[in-house]
Amino acid sequence: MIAEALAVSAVLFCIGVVGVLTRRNAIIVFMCAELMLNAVNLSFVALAKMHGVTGHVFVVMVMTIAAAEAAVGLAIVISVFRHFGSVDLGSVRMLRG
Amino acid sequence: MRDFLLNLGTDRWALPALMLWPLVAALGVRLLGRDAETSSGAGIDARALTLAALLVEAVLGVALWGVFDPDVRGWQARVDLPWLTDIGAGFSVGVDGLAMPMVVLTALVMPLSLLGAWNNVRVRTASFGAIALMLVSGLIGIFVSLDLLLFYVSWELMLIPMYFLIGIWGTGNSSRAALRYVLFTLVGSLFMLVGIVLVWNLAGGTSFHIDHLMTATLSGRTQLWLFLAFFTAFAVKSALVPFHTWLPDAQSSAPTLVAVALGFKVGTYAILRFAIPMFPAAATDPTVRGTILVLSVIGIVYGAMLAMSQRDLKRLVAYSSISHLGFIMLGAFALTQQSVQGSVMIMVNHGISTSALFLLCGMLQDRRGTSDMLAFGGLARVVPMFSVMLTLAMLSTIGLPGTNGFIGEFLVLIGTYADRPVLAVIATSGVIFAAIYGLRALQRLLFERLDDSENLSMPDLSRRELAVMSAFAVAIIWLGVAPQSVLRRTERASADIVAAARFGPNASAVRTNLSAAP
Amino acid sequence: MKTALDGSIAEYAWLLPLLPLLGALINGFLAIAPRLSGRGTTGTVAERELAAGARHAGTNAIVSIVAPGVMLLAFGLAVAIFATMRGVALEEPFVRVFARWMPVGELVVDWGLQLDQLSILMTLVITGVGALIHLFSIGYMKADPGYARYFAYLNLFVAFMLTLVLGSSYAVLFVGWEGVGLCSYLLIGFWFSEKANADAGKKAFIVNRIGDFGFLVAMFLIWATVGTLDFVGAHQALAGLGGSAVLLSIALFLFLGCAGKSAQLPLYVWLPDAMAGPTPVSALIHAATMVTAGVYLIARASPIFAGAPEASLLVALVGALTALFAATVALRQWDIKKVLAYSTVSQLGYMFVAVGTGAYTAGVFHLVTHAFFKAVLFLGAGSVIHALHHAYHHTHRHEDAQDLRNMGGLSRYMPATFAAMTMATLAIAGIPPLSGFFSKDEILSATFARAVSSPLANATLLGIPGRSLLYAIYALGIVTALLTAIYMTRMLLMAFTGANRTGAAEQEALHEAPAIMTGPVVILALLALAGGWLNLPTLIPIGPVGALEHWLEPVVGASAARLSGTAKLSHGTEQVLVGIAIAAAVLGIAVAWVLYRRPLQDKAHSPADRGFAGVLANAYNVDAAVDAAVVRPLDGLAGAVLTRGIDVGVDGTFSAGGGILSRTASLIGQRLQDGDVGKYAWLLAAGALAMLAALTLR
Repeated sequence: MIAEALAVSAVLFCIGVVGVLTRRNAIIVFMCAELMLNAVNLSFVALAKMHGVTGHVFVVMVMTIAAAEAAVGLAIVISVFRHFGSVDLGSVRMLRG
Repeated sequence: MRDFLLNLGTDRWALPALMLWPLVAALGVRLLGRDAETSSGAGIDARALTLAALLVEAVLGVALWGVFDPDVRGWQARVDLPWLTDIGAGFSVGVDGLAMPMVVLTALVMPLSLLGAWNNVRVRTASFGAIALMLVSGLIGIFVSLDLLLFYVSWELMLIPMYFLIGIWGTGNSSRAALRYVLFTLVGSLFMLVGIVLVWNLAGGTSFHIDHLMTATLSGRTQLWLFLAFFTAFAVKSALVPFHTWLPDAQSSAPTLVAVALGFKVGTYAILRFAIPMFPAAATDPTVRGTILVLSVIGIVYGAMLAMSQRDLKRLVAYSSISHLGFIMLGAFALTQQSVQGSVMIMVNHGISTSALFLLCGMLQDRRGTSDMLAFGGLARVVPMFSVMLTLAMLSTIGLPGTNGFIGEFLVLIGTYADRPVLAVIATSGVIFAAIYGLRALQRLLFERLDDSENLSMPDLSRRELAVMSAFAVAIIWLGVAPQSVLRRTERASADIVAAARFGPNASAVRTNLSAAP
Repeated sequence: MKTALDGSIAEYAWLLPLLPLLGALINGFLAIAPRLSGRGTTGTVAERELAAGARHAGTNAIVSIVAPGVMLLAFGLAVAIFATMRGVALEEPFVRVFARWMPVGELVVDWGLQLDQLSILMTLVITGVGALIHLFSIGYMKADPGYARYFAYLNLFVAFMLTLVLGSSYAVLFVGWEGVGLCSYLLIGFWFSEKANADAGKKAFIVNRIGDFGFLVAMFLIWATVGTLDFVGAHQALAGLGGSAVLLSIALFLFLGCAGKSAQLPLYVWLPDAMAGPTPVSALIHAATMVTAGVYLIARASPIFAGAPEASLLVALVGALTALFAATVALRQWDIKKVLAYSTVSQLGYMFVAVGTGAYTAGVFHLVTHAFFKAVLFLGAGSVIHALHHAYHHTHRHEDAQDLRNMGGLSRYMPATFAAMTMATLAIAGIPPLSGFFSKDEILSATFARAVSSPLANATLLGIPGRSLLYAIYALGIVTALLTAIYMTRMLLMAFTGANRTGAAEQEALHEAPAIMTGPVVILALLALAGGWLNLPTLIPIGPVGALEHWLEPVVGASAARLSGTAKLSHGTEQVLVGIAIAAAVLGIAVAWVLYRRPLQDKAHSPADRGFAGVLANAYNVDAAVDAAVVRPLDGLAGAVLTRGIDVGVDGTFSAGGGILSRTASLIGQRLQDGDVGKYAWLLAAGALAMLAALTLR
């Protein structure tokens, strides 16, 4: 049971990583980041069955931080949209050295 | 005389004074000096100030000569002051028979050269004088440092001022020449820095002093890498073929005083002082030593042949410098008493005769704005004093017996012959090529038809120039007839270097094919 | 080592090289002094020379006294020392060390002086003939603006030459060796405004340097083998190494040095060009002294050569070939000085034949007699050239004053010179009882004697037995003697007999040289006449027999015996050989008499030499060949290949290498830092994975 859950979690995590790295739309990138976080939640819950309630505590913490991060991140995306007129990550090169 | 100087405590303050006085004087020259171009205005003529400072150096140098005892082993006039005690770097200076002639040479030749090249630099002479004094401090520091970190600082202290001196006050494509000089030598010195830190670490990380570092037990492989690191820096700085290409550009576009300073062979000095005694197994390793010896002989012939085809007199002298360096390197690595002392002799003599040649080139350039030999001809009729001096300096460069140039070359060759006969014979053929480039230069400049109208009224040596060149002429003949004064003082140090290479603490256990007689 | 000369006048022998040196310094100062004062350093060169010229008369007078003065003083001292030595049986050389020169570890080289029978003999020749030539030069160079400079160089030359013959070690000898090369350079190129003269001086120095290279290597070998460069010590130590490869190498390299200095094949090419210098210079340096330094060296190093018979055979062979080669070229030369130059090369060949076959005394004997008669010939030629110059100056024509075709019938105008030169010509041709006959005959007889039986004949050179070589050398010697007689008589006839071709107007101005020039010539001619008395052979005992042989016995006797064994010819054979020699000489004179009495045209109207005659006139085109085979390729190598090719390449590699390095680094940097956040994220992920892997996959 745990093994299957961990496998699903790993698959979800990889899908999330690939999405973050390859997608150009900022909203999609955020959705994939959420997906990564939820995959980690799933593996915590699965392992909590073995190791006790600490796993569930972590899940609650992750959810909270994910919510905060989503709020801040989406605010930045809206700011970027206002400045650049699009959310295409390929056109935002302000960090160019 | 020696007792009088010792009573004054000369051996306690001579070396720090020699090193630090130019830095102090540099400040004074920059603040108080007045440029040559501005006739009015406050301050004293910067050139006169610089000359005064250098004369003080000369006096200190003579004092050092007076206090030096040829029969004592080890360091003399030694001063150890704390500096960076955490890492073990101290202000340690001292001289032995190898360093002392170089210090005295620098101290005496620099003021003479400034006096001889008085009209060479006329703009911003205050800055020029200040930076030149910093250069002198670096030069002296290289020769007297016993602490490797202090040595490195002095090494770089010679490099940076040189860049400015060549780049700002040089002629021709001087900024390019200066940049190349810096890049070449800096890359080399960085290898050396790594080597210094490594050997400090291997010796316990407590002291940078050379005596302490020589006690470190180093395996053969470690020695090899360290030796190569140090050798790279020294080889580039002393223009060993194939790392020589920066020298002709730098020396021919530099102002006269700086060209003279480039002729002091700090690279080869450092090899004899540090690279060989500290890493004897690597220095005597047959492959390494053989390669360096072959490169030296190539340098001798290559430098001479390139000198043969030069049109510009300064470049010709620069290539002859490269040829001489081949002799010095050959003598250093042949590792016999005669060859090492010959090597030191050439370092001293080269400093004298090449400086004389550059001074004369400078005099020619100041009068006619060029050192292209084809612009001249028949000068012996117009400027006989100049011709006499040029002939004498050139004969010294090509090693005529009776001049100082012969002594060093002869000793190096006879010393090398005992060890590597074939290489010595090939190197001896260098004297033929030297005669060719030397006499061709003399002929193109002094003899043949005097037909250029500007040359017809060229002024001969002024009294000042005549006095300076006479001093060089006396040195050339004196050291050719009685080189005893230098040979006796370098004897012990040379013997020690040879002994350290063969029997020192890190020497190779396997007898390489060095000749039996020490 | 105690010798019989201790405490005698020989203690002052150090004055011998120092006196001419002092003269050189004084004369040099006088040459430059008029230009030293402030007035001389501004203005055009013409103005400066004018300002200096006003003071010339005074300085010239001083120079005229100082220069020959020091020579005569030195000669006087040499005579005094010689007289002392004659009264004493000197078995060991008298050696005095004055100062350390290069003491380095086990190498000890001192400034030392060695007096023995050989060095005092050379000193007498150098100072004696030198003094006479100095006197001659006073007249010859009177009108030259470089008068003081000339005598400074000439004195300096004598100082170095005396250092050469009086040095006590190979190193001190080498100082004199190169020193005379330097002075030769300065004097050949004395009139340096002409490129040809400067080139000739440069050529002499450089070719000499090739020989010096050999000398240096020989010195290294000697030191590496026996640990000392002193003559006494080295020769003693080397005595036991007879027949070894080391000794052979030393001898061969020493001979390379001699070949350069004494103009033997193939390093003779500088001597004919050296005629560009003033004629007294040719007389002193290129006839009497400097070129004989090589012969002196071999005599001095006789223990080495005696122990290396192959090298000695080579020396003799090269000498013989050189003698013949030069004689053939001299047959067709039109410049009087060139004839004498090639003649010198040829006679030097004879001297090398002598020292090569171990007849050291004969070689030195010929050296001395050659100094006499060749000096007469050169100085006489100088008088002739001086006269023709004067004549052409008188008529403002610019013909070649040195060309035989412009001479003729000069016996009428210059009787004393003619008489002297006739005597010298007969001497060089080998007519008895003049000196040249005795010395040349001794060389030839000695060669023949050694060919018959001697250790030298038993040696082999490159597989050829010494006996055959020696007979061949003898034959070459006879042929050369014949040719010598021919070309010398040709020269004499063309210059002094027949109709005068200089020109009708010039003839008014032709006259004998002043006394100061003719005097030395006559004295030398008398010496050429009587010089044979120095070493009369047993066959012709008209005076003391073998005086020179006895004199030089302590120095070269042992070495000579090693090579010649008990070679002794029967009286009958000797008489035949003498007869052959005389016959060759007489035949040569007769042939020349027949061939060259026909009238000639002066140079301007003479046809150019064609065919083989042209080849001879151009000295087999050797100079052109050397230029094409050696000089041009060397220059090409130095210029095109090395300077513009390899050096640029090496420089480019390092410079370009540095450039490529920095550009690559910057490219990488550019690509990594382009502001593309997606790329940064990739790198983050990759880095995190790598760290995880490193931590878990231990």
